[in-house]
Amino acid sequence: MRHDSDAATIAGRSEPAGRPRLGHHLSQSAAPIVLVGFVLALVVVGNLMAPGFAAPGNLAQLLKLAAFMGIVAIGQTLVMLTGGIDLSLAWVLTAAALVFTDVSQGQNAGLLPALAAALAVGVAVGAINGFAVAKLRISPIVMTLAMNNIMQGVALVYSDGTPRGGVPEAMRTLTTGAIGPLPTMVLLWAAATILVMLVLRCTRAGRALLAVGENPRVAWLSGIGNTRVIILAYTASGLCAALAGVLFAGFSGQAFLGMGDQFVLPTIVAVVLGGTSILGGRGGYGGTAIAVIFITLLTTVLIIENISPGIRNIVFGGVVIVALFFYRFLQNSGRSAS
Amino acid sequence: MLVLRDIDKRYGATHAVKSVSLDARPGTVLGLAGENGAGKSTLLKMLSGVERPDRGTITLEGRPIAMASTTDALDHGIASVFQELTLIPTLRVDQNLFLANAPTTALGRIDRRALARRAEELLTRYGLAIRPDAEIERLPLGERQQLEIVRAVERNPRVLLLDEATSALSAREVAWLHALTERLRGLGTITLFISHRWDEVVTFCDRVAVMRNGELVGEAATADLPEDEAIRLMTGESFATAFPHRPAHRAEPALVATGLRSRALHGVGLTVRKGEILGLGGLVGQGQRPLLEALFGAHALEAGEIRVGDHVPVHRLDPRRAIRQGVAYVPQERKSEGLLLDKSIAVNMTLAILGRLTSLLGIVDRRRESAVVDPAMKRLAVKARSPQVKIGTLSGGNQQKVLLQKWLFTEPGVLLLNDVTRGVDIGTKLEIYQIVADIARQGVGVVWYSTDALELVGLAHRVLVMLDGRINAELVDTEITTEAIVRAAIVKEGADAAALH
Amino acid sequence: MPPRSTSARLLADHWPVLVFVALLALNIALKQRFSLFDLRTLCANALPLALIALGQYFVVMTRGIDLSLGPIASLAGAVLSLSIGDNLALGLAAPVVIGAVAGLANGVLVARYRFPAIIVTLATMTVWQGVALVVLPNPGGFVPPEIQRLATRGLWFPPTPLILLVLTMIGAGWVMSSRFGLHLRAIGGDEAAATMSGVRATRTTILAYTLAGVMAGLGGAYLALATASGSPTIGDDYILSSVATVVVGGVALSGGRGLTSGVVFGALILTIIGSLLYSAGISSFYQSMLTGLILVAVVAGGSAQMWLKSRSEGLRHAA
Repeated sequence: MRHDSDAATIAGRSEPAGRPRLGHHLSQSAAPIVLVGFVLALVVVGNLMAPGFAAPGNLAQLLKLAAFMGIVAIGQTLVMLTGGIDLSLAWVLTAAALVFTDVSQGQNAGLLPALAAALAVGVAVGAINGFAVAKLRISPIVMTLAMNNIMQGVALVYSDGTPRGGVPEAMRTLTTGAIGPLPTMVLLWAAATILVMLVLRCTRAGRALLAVGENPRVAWLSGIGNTRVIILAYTASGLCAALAGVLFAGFSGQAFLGMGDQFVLPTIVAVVLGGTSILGGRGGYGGTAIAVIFITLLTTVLIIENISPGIRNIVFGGVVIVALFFYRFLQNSGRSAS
Repeated sequence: MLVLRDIDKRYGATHAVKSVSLDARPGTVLGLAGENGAGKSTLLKMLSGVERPDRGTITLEGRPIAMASTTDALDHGIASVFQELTLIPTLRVDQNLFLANAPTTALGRIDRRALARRAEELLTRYGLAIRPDAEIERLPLGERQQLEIVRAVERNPRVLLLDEATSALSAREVAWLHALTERLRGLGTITLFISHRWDEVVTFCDRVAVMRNGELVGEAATADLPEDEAIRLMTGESFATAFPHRPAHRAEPALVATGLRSRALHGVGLTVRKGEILGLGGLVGQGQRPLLEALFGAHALEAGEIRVGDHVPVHRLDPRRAIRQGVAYVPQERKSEGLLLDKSIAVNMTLAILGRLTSLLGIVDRRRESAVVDPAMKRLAVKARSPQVKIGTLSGGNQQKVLLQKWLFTEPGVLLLNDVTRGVDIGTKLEIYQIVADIARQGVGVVWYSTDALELVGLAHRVLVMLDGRINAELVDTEITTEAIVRAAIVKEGADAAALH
Repeated sequence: MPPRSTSARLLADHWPVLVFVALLALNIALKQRFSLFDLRTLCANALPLALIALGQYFVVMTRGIDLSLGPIASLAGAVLSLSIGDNLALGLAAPVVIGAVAGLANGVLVARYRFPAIIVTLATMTVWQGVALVVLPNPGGFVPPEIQRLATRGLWFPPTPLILLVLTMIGAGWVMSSRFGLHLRAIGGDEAAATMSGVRATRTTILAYTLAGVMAGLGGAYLALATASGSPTIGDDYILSSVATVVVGGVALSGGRGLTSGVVFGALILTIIGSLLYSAGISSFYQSMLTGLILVAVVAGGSAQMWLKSRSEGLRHAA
């Protein structure tokens, strides 16, 4: 079972795929609640350290920052729900942004074709990833890693080392503007969040995805097209990365090489912290979204306190390890209670 | 001397081993015989440290022993060979044989030549013509099993447990094993031997202990136990179960399979008619599961053809297509093959019919779902607070009912059941019998593999008994008795053709 | 499955050597020369990758993965560059100790506490990146020029990088030919069966991760010696290239298979591709793309092989 062994590789040797344990689920649904608690705690702490932190205006700005990672994390969540992983986000995002600025040449008139082109990049890459994982049985780690390298080359060659074109005014307004007190990006992210959660919980595709992630054999024996589901998940991931690239370029005013690197690992952490099992099949986007906010808040609080990048990294890594132990503790007490 | 006194074991509602007491003298081979579910494997698991008895004592050479793991059993001198192999496929023969303590040179490297030599010496001592540098995954199954046996015997065990250790062996390799057990007898080792082939039991064993329904019902020297008597002991007086009335069936075929060939199936064909309940019998592991899976497109076939109803016959089926053609398959392992334990009852029940419940944009219509799930839960008397409860929290019997309903929803023309009443309480069993009888009455062709011969006797119109990947016997109507099923399960047709007809 | 002939087995096990030789020949043909300088440079560039990738190899053999090896190397190199000027022994010993401690931490979290390797090493990767930044916020430090010379050139022939590369291959080969190596393969092949046969899986796995840390430490040490400075981020590139090297070297991510020589030649292959592209006048932009394509080709090839094998055995995997 190639797919199982990849899940095992990604997951270490904790659980054999296809044999879910009941206690595990308790830690999964508790995770978002715990995270909300931590988010609130961070807001309070942040406000103590820098009065005005908790002001709605500031929080709105922070949410706007988080939105970009949040959108990338949608794709990562979907992929990890199938028991896989997407390490190609960084350069898919960058490549899409480069294409966007180049095709639009900074003109509003060029926005739609540029958007279409950029999203097409994401979709194409995602579909290839999905096909390789589902049909060719290539390990997701290796495939998406390789694709990241390939897209880096593609992006470099395409741009010849220097991003061309510019960001259409309309896109700048969209990503930096606001409707009333709420930044447009936040509204966009909120809409996307609702959409994803709806799809996962209420649609046939969502059920199929969760089935394939939890137990591919049961899904297959129930007539679900596993290949189709996996390809769709990776395609969606590519699409999200491309969209995030376009939006982030809009926000920054330009596309720049390496702009995607900061998103890959935090999104993986966010998915796991948010309660999605790394084996797949359990979890959802709600937890991920909260985790993204948590990560953004944590990073910001640390920056405000002038904590050096080095210590910031140590704190970040430490938080993940503590979270692992904490979720394990929840899992064990949940199991002994049931 | 190995002494078992009042060994008892329950698995939830199932009383697998009921106060079994047994003696085995040194230098003898004791066979354990019985039907599926008789308790042989469970007894052996308790002796090998895989399981612990709830009650009772095991005494070896006068000392009582308690084992919490397979390592404990090994420490006490009890070595076992099961059907599951414990060789590392990526390594070589010599590496496997001496994994924990491979010989090393002064520099700390493994001395490859010494290793090969030791392996060579070992293999020669046991009369095996296997190369020490052969890669395990490239060896035929029979040779791998021989290596497993050699590994166990090399430990100089006081007790050797062979659970279906001959399943993958060729005739020549079986003879090799026999010579080995004879040698062990001379050394004073106690050997316990389980095989589904009665002729092997007769050849290998001095004495045979027959189990039925968890109890020891007879123990005698093999010379004093004729085959008929053994079979009678194995099947015994059956309790009357209230089986529903067998509905009449039609003549048109619901499914015709011909010439199915694969690693596990050696030329199997069958026809199941509309409304007919076709039973599949035989001891576990004779090809029943691959056969059912093949009919559903979940087992790769090298050759063969399957025609479902009026559809075009196909060589390559897969579950999606099978479902579209109206075939439904209820798998054996409900926890790992049948249900998504983390999802709700409703999600599980509707997993195969999602297409029917979705409105535009693929959204699942919750109302339509309830309209279908709620009555089903009531009809089947599934005990749960609501359909949204996670199915992992339900009892085995209730889980099984949900699983069955999931497939009934697909309105199949052919229903394949893989041991659906295993691990289910008697009350639920009766309910399931009724469900299956009803569904047959509606004209669905049912193929039912059961490890409980009584069920086949009670419900099936016809029974095919499998042995070694082939259909060994076909029993029709009054021919279906537990004796006939058990005999066909352990005695190869042809050798006893006259006695059968 | 019929047993393979010796030549078939040799080919299957050692094709990275052939590929490397072919690429080397191609490179020489394009450049019309292969001087001592070229040999030194090739070995010096391949050595850190080989060391770190070998660390990854030990972990991958147990079906795990280690994303923290790059930053461990950065940290090791940074500490070396800060201490070697004052105390040679300390400067050389520190990277090993740092690597061992970091690796041990990974091993305990993965093998004893059973957390998923990818998340654990992701977290520790971040931690060590941070520690490296704290110890050495900007590239700097100092390595005595004689030592740098010794590390990158040495005596006239053979040059030190070549010697070190050969020693690395011999050393890694020795580790895998020991009982520990056999047990690693056993765990990767079938952990349950290995445990039943008396292999101490937890202990062996922890040792594998610790060893990986040491290898990363050595790789980082050499990088510092060769560049005569420490850098807190120099190891970042090696995070994923170590995985790529392992795959190109013919090692399966599913554990239990692969040779150390394959990994070393995999490092040489990836290193020489850069040189090839340069000699062919192809922009370096294509380098990572080529690495990616090669990675896919290698793995797809392996997949195709498995598929053909399973077809002939009449098996089918559930999707």
